[in-house]
Amino acid sequence: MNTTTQPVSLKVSRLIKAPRERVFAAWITPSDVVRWLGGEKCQIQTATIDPRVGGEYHFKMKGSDAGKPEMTGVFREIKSPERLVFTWLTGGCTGEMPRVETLVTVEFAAQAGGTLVQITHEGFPDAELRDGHNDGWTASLEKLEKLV
Amino acid sequence: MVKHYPLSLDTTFAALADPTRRRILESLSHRQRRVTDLADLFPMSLPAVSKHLRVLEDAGLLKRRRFGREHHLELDPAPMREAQRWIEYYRKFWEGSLDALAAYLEKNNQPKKKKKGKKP
Repeated sequence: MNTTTQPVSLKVSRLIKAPRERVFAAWITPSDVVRWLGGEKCQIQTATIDPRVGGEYHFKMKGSDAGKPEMTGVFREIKSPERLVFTWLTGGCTGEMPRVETLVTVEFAAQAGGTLVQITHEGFPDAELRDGHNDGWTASLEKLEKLV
Repeated sequence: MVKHYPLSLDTTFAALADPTRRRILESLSHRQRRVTDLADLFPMSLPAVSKHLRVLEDAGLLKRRRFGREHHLELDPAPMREAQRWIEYYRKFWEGSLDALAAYLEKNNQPKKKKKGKKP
């Protein structure tokens, strides 16, 4: 098993055939979010979103998952239409996962034919990172890499 | 007795968030090592290595066996499997979301395919 060398994070990306401004808006507009976030497995009934640094979002689940804990978190960075960073309390959807505060970074890159969306979901409760000092984490990681 | 669960993903993540600690685990992935041998592999002091070992032990990622004065270290992969499960779960979650986002926006974004030459 070679998982030990990897940081606890995952990256997912996809080219969406739509303009960058539109794709970015789809992440912070409640009427959009309820149409796609969570996919088919984990559908959202209602969303409230306060899209500013420090603002919160709350997603209530649909159907049999109604009454389950909300998906919720806080925006740490909003740079329209390039970058979005928010905390993510896991376990909001099916309750399969434990409640752990994690961090999601979404990058939007304009490309021929659309927008490349890259999601980085980091699963560690580094307080500094969570509170928005993003560069601190990268810098300290680089420092460590150099030291070792 | 070896301390086992309750597992906290928080603790596992925190322990794995450090590259030195990931390297320690990697060096133990195929064999046990004595603490002193392990410390030799890292360009830092024994107390510094010990600090990392303690974090890994608290997270349940390491087991320590004592043979007299010698301490042997061994990897416990159980919490890592939990972290791996977390990663797989969210990989599917985000892939599903992006598929749905593409379907939603690409449908919305397409010019309506009605009759030609009907521009206002």
